Amino acid sequence: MKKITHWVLGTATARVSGDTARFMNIAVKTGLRPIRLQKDGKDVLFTLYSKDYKKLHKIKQRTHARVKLAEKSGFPFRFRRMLRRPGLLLGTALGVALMLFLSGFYWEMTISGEDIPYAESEILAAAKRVGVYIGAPRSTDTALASVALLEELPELSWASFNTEGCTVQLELRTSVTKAEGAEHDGTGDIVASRAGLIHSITAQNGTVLVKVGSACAAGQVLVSGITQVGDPYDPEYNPVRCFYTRARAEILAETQRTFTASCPLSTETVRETDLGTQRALYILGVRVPLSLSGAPKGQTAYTRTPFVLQGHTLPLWVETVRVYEEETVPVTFTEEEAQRRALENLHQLQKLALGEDGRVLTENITYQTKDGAVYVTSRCVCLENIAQEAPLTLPEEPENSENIGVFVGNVQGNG
Amino acid sequence: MGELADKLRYAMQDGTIRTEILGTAKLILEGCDGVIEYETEKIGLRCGRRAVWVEGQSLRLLCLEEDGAVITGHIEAVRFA
Repeated sequence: MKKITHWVLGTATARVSGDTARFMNIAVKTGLRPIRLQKDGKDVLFTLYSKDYKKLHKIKQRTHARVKLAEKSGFPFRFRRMLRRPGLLLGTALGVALMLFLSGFYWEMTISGEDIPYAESEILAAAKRVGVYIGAPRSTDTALASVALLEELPELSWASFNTEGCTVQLELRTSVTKAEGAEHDGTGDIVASRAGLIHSITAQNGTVLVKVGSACAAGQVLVSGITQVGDPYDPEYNPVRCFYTRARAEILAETQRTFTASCPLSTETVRETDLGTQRALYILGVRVPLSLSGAPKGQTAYTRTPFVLQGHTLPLWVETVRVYEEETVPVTFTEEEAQRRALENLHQLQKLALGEDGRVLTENITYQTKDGAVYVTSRCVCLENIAQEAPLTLPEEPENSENIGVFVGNVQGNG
Repeated sequence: MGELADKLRYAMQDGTIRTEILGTAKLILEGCDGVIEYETEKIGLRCGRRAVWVEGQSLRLLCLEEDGAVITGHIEAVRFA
């Protein structure tokens, strides 16, 4: 603390020669308080505050001692030296002012969150609409902006702008949609969506009416939603009670399908031709063009390349504008190429039709060229899930009309 | 006010010299009113009509005030004259 005080007020050391004892006595008597007194040979080094140095002059005259300035240090001397260079002071002041001014804005924004269903550009655009962006003032109400952001991006369940200095961290959480599970309510049967040969049956609910290896027709009830319960005391186990539920099952069967796809021998495609590229440097949001010529007319595509320093994105980026034009160009395929493309289309059709569980077991592919196009036909045997939900099929007459919903049993007892 | 307090204190002390020696390294003297001699081996301080001589090695006046002084260094002897 003492050193800080000495530096702030400034100290000066005088070399006193001659009658040093008398000099010190008079100096102390006149109220001067030396900070340090050192003996240097025959001389005394008298250290005191810079503001008191001038008072030594009178004492010097009185005692006829020789006084020379040996050393001076501290802020007052440095400041006087700085005053000789006003540009330095002005630059320092402007720099401090600029730093204080720029500290009032956000200069970095990071986004965190897993499985966010929006692109970063969409999130940044939405954040800008709610008032939080690079260059936004720090006085922005981030709590209000968080709520507004959820309205802009409805698939989010939570959004928060966390600020630290000039950095904003946007934390996002996605809402979890309930997976579509099996329907347990209501009643229904499982019928065959197409004819086939039953390969495997996995039933979760209902009464299975077919066996593995049996054939079925389209629309045939494979799993019934009616479950019958018989009288346990009846030796013939006649059903006396019926439960109506929703049947659930997965039934894989071999089916026969025909797929057809085509590919034209000549078509048109759109080709992009680059007309030019323009670049601009953005510094704290201010655009500095890097290209001398103007942009040609045409369609544009923008890309932004930010500068990153030690993992932090700086408010400094290069924007590249690519100008291009589209032109339609005719394309001709050879027959082999067209057949290949038609076959690719066919396989895509098969995947769509059979779903994830289905696959093609065997297929017979034929090609035909007609009317400027190549047609490919596949007659295949597929393994697919043919279970389809259908409304419950009730029997025409109840099996036991007197007892549906009522359990009747023989009760034996004494008396 | 400070001067009056000094005079009162000096009067109450009846002009006595108050010496406090801390080990052999520091000497605090109250009641002195000037320096007679200042050398690294001998420092003389005037206390009214008397004098106090401090002898030793590497002596230094750490602090000098109107009515007191603090001497540091290797003190070997203190003489009152």
